[in-house]
Amino acid sequence: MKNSLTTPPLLLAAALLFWGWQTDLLWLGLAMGVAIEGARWTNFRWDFSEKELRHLWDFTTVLLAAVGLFLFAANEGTDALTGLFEDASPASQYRFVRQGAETILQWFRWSPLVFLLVILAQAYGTRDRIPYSVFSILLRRRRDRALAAGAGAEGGLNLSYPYLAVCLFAGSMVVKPGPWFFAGFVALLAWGLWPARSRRFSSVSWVLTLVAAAALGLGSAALYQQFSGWANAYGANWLARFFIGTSNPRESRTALGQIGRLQLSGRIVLRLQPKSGPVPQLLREASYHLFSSPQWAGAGRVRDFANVGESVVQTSWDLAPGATPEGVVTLAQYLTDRGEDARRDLLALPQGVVRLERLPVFLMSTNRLGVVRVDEGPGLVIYDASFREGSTIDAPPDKDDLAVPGNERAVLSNLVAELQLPGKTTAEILDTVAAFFSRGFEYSIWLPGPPRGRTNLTAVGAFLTRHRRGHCEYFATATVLLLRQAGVPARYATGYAVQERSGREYVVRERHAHAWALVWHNGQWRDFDTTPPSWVNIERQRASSFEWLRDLGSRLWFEFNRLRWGQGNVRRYLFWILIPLLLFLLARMLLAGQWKRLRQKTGASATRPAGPGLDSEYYRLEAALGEAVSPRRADETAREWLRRLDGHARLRPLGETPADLLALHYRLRFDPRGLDAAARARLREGVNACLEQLGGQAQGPGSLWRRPWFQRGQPPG
Amino acid sequence: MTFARRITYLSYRAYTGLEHRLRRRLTPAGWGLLIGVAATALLSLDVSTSLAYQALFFMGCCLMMAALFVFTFRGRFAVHRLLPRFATVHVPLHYVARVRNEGRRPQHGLLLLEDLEDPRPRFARFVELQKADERLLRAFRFGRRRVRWRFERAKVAEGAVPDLAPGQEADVPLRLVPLRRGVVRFTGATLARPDPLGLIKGFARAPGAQSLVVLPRRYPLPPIALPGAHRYQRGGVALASSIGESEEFVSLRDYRPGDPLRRVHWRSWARAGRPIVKEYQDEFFVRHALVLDTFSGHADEEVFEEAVAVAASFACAVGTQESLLDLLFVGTEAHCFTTGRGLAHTEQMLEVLAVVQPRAREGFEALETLVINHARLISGCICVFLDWDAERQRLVSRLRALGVPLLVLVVQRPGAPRLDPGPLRAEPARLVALEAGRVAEGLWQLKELPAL
Repeated sequence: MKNSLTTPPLLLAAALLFWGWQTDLLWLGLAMGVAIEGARWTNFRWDFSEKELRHLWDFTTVLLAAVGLFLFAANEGTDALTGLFEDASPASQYRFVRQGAETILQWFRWSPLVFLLVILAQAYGTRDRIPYSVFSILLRRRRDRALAAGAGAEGGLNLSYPYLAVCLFAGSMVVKPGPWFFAGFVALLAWGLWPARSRRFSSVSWVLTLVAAAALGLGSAALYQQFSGWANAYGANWLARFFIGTSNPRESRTALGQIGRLQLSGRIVLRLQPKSGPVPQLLREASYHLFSSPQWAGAGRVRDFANVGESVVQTSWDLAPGATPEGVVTLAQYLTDRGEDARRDLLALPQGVVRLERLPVFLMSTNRLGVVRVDEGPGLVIYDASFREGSTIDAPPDKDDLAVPGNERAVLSNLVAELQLPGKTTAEILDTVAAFFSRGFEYSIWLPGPPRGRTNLTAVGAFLTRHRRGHCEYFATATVLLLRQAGVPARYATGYAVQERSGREYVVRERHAHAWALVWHNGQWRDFDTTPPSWVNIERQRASSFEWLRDLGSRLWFEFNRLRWGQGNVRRYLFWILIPLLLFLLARMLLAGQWKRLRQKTGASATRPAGPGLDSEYYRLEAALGEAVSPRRADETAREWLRRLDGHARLRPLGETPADLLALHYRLRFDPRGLDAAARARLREGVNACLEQLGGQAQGPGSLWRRPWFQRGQPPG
Repeated sequence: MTFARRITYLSYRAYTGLEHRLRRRLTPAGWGLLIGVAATALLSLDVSTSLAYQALFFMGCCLMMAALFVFTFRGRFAVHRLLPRFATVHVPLHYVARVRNEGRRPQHGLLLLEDLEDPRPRFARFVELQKADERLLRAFRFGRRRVRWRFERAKVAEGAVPDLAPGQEADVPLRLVPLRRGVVRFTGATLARPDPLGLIKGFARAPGAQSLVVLPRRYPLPPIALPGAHRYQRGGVALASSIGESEEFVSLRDYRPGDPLRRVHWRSWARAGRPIVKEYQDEFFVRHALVLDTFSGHADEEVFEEAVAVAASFACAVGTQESLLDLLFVGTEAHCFTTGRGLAHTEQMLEVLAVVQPRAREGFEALETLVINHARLISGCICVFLDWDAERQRLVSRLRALGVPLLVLVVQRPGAPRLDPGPLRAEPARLVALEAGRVAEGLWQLKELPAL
């Protein structure tokens, strides 16, 4: 049995187990390891031609690219990339870099699986090395040129150690705490290095050197981690300056709550399909009550949230028990993966939400500002939300909902007096404020710079008294503060406006992110949006001309995710069903080649060898002696070699026989008259006798393993 | 400009030097770890996304520990190689190096590395090559392959040295692949010892300067009917290549009126009593000239090497049992080298061809003069040219005017335009264009060449 794996036995299996353990694919790693190492204990061999190997490699390359593309799409890399073109702000650049890095890491994580076929071809093939020309067309051309120029045979690569490197590398692309990664890595690498150790030194010095290297490595890695943590923290602060920096006036002015990162692109973030009742105009994601320019705050901390229902798996969530819904909409939303194991996201819901159905998440919690948060759900949720105008899960107002920051107060009190708000009812105040903002204010995404000269004007103050133009956050913030100054409790809400119809459903894009005010009126919280309606058109104009393309991709991705997350486990494993299919196709392709060659071979098996005496039995003796004592060097003639071996203990019982057999072989090979039948028989029997004395196990060229597995069983020449 | 070139040259030397040293110092396992370090270093920037940094530091520390052992190797050795006289380009050569342990400690687990002369060009030649390269460069034009600079003369695989007791000698079989024509000079040998992990080698140098001549590559030629008739050769075979008044003695005969007085053999006259004269052999035999164009201008090194290979193929193929072959070329001076009929052997001509160097483009007249002066002696001429310009065409038309049958081979870069026969318009089959890289195919077409 011929073994073409050069790594020590079981090392590759161990490395694959290590990889599987690191990437939580333990069973897959085990199966792959068994498949590869199994080659050492089976006689099953394929005689791959160079063309077949090339096909295999091309297939692997395509698979590599496909996995890369798949991961790029899965990590929303396309969105990050298009976002980069539509808006080259540092924020989107950073996002793109992060997505890219994540994609590459995942790609590496998958690589042992991708390269599985080639290593199997190495393990179960009859070649020691895969020729270089298999790997690239360039090398192939160079090889052809070199052969034409008379250079010798080309080299090749045994893939065993490279594959070990791939496994170790892929295993390191995961973050698992504890010392086990380091220990495993050191053990596997030591195992791999053991055969390459210098024979000049004892095993003890090898172990000592390795232990010293491991100790040193561990120490420096720990130091590096410390340093890196510090550098990252510093770097994050440094990077953060760009997000709120002055390079992009729109973004610098919109660092209010979450909306700063939202008002960006045409990416579809939500899909809404009305089932019954009216279509909600606004979907609220979060609301805030504390303002400290330029930041709205109020929700988000874990301890502010209280769980809804019991924390068991359930798909119906009653938010306002007892209320009868007015309308139902189906909402589809991606839950963002926030690292670790948690998928946690805020739901964008219509005002007055009563009940959520078909929502398979583990945990749902709300806070007193009416923010609904879900934990531990699938990547995509499609659920029904029933709502009723006036129903509310938000807590009633308290003193925070009337607070106005001191630096805004001067401008606001002037304005309240100017609008003659004191003394009016809440309804009248709302009418007046709405009328105030609809007159003389305009929607704009471009803002003049901060107020010049020595002035105490804040951004909101400047908006109200000077520029009178801004985007929704300005309108919302100014409205909230103005109402509070007038004594009406108000909050600041962010979310999305539903305004783009697409067939039977509505699509909500990142661009539709919106901010508005919530007002306490008649014992209810109500939406109060003072942004001029023109903002819808202005935002629409910002749509990229390639938006249709992106929508198409988004649709496909959505459908794919529906399969992936939507309907139980069968579809989820569809991806895995594809792999055996691919393997089947590949095997069929290779098998076809095998059969073809088998037929050719059986047809040609009766032909004579290319030169006289090439079928000589002496070659077997030479191979056996070479294995038993010392192989013939390239610079030695057969006679010189026998002379060198003369006197060796294993040769002594053979006496002069090998030299006589060599003489016969030379006659067979070079005498024009050849050998007569009797002499030929003498050669054959002499060789057999010698082989028996030597133990008779060694096989020469033309022996069992060189032939394809299905041709074995015939007696050798 | 010179400053920029100097910088380029320095960085070229630094890069190739580093590569050479790494190649010699690192074992395959060491290379593996070095590549691993490079790969993980890129991904170690962010410790929060991967554990690559742990792998990086372990592998880095392994290499560092291994590097410490480099300085702990001592030993004294002497090396002598049992080399053949010649090797041929691209034909692997197996030889034995005899290593002797001259130190006082036994040595085992060593490797033998050959030290070859530094093949990198000096600054002046580097600039020359670079300028030639730039002449070939066209902006935004594909298809023109850049000249690949390869100066390495030979590749020698490292050999494992058997265990050596103090004073003991052992043979190490080695394999050498000559990459270029010329002389391979061994400056010495290096005995290398890997560190315990088997990553980096420590060195001990051993003297042992030797050299080996690498002959040019030869192509198989079809049987060719070479042009030409017998010509009278003054002075006979032995002196066919030299100039003088001596002649080949054949026999004595009776005086016939008109014989020159200086041919009278006085002693025989005295013995025989009648005038006897010495008779000399008039030598008539075929003599061919092989003209090699060396005016390549340094740029087309590949083309020049092919031209030398073509000349070498003819030198081997032309039967020199019955004829003479003169190799004519211009090196530092004009050379004419004759083989055949026992005068010199083909190997000697190949040896000459092994060391022929290309010249600048200018000065083709020197070759022209040499060939024309030689033309009266030769019965046929094979010209191996690097170009087919006006100067070369003029030489061909002058040879034709002198009635010398010709075979002109022009070696070109791949993709060169078809040649206009010019002075060979009457017999265009006598002008053969050979494409560098596909010369063997081109030469085989000579089979169909009509005999003159």
